[in-house]
Amino acid sequence: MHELPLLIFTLLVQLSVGLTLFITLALPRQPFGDRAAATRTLRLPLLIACASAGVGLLCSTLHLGYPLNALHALRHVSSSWLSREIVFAAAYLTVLGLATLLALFKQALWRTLMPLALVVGIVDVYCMSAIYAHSSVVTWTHYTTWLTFFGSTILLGATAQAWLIARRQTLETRRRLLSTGAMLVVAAVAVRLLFQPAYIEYLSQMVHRDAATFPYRSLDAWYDLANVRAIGWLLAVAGAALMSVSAQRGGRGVLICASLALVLSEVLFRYVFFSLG
Amino acid sequence: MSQFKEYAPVSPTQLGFYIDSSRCSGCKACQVACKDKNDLEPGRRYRRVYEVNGGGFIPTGQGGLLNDVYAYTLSISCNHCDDPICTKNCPTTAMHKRPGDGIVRVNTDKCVGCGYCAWSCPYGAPQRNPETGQMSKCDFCIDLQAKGEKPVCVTTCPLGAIHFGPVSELRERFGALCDVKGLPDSTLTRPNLIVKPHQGAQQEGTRHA
Repeated sequence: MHELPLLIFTLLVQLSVGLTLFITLALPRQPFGDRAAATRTLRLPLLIACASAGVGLLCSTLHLGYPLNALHALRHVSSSWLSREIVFAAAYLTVLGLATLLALFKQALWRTLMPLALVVGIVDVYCMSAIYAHSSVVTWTHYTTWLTFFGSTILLGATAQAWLIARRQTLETRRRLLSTGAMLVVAAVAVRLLFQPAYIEYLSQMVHRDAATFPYRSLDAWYDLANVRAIGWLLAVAGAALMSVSAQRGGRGVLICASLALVLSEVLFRYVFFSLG
Repeated sequence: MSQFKEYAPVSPTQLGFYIDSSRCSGCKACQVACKDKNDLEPGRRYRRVYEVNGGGFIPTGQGGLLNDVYAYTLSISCNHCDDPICTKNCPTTAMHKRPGDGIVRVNTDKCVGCGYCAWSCPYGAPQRNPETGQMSKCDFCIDLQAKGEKPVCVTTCPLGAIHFGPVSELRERFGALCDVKGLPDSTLTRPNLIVKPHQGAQQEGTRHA
């Protein structure tokens, strides 16, 4: 697949921002008196959030034909969403990296940096979506691109939370964190599903407007990959349902199934997204 | 990285192309001459000849069929648009519109080869040079124009179906039509292109009207 580096990059950065979201949400629930213990339990998710964004950014350079000019890509912030995305991705990784370093050195300041990292990360995901929405590829130029990317941020973040954050908490906190995660996952899948008819109607109008001169045939690819999309939706719905069950009843097996279903559905959806025909 | 050479403006006003699609036979001499001049490998084409077809057969109800089948060719390169989406989206400013002649060029000293311009241009003008990894496109044969010569596609067309010049003069002579079946909506980028439509394109326009 031609755009494999971008598939990996977008998913890894969204996973990282999702993890940052859930670390930030978990912060107020940490034991007030023992801050060092809280820092200890959240160190691993912080490191993984950093590594995920870092590896994602490195992957994105594989997409470039001439990476030696990469610094020039910051020149057009005034009008290019790609420039803006690079600026915010770099800022996000800097703030998150700093917070992680402070956490490693047991400095309490890292907690105050997390909301800032989260805000910069959310702006980054917004810019990332805007890059595609402002192109001429018909399957991208719709507001559902934002829903897809923010949805992935929640789904991947919640899945990572279940494994990296919730398991190290007290029973009560774990239950609360998992419930919040499951609720957000169900909401993300439901919102995406809700806007599918509008997206399909938009694409059906685009069939007649497709210019012969545009080299990408993403619409043909989108229709050709109907089976992949169907499997993606089944996995997303099943994953959301299993995540809710897991939050209510616990159980490692259910959580494994939910995580696999959600991650696989994300990979399939992103594969369809980057299939340009 | 390919060497980027700057040229002084070759016209004080915006340049454009006039394509007489009603006259175009689809011989692709323009496409081949352009590939030859720019030494392009298979797959990369700064000027492209598209075939557009449509129409169908309609039963008369008395055992016969009426047809309005048509097929025509459109020769399209970069239209050096007034509102080029490729320059707007380019993160490096390598894709730029020159003052004066309004030619859109890629400065390879800056281009990072991200391909965002190719995802953006609805005419398919920017294409990646597989050798350098950077983007490339029609530069209106600026090297020839700097020497007072015409673009190679204009001089090659055996039917005289491609003209170039200040777009205001072209529009005075040939009108301002650039929305025909097969091309994207001109309001997206405001191309400096004038098309004399083939009969088929006119039929299609009438049917949708």
